Amino acid sequence: MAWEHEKEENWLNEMAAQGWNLVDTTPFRYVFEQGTPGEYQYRLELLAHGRDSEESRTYVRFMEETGAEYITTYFNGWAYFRKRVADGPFEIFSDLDSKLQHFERIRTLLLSITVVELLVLVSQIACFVLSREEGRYGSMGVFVGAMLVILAITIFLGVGLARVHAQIRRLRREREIHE
Amino acid sequence: MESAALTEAVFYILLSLDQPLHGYGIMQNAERLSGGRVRLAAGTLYGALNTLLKKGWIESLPDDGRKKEYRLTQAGRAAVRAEIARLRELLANGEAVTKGWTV
Repeated sequence: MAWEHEKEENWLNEMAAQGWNLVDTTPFRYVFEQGTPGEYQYRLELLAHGRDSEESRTYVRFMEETGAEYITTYFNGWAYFRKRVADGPFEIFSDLDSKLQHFERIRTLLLSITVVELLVLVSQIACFVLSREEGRYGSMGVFVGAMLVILAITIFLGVGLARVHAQIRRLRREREIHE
Repeated sequence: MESAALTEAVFYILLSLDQPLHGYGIMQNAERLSGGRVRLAAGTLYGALNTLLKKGWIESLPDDGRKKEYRLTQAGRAAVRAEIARLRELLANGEAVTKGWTV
């Protein structure tokens, strides 16, 4: 999940420790390649710009110049990088400010998805009410089903937002005493 | 606020760019200067470099098709001097107070 990229990193690093190295992501699966156990460490980042933008290309080139290897970008935003364990520790962010900015980017993404989600919800209800008023009776079952699905997704997003918000608050508190 | 403290990352980036360096060179230099303590991560460094370019504290050297290099400007030097003055004040006050501590 978008708000648990650190958990995803941990999982990818456990896989890499066992010799399974991520080499690609598709919308529905991860592609691993068997290699030497413990050769790579992985990090994820939500890019500040679109995957194919000049800004992102420049950024990825910069990352590569510092010894990181770019794997892929999931959809338009989540970039996967790795670095050889032998080349030393691998982090993308080394201070609270840049970590905060990254979490704020994740929050913005989640918020925009939530807004779209709520618009869909409202338009669904409006369509249903209007069709009722016009005397065209849509299937109540389908409507309730669709509502439940949308509601579930909204709750899911809400939980994600709450978690990201908590992380941001924790980092801000820390930032008040050190960097 | 002109008197605000620089972050440790920014301070070491500025010091490193007393000579022209590319990104990875800055990371290595900051680590060396700090005796291995300061390890700038690439994403943090990239963001800081862009901010410093915008402020005019550093400049990027003409691109020769290889790794992009940066260098400190006069404005950057002034920022380093101001930071050193601020650190001196912190140090002097800190030492004056702790001097009397016996435990």
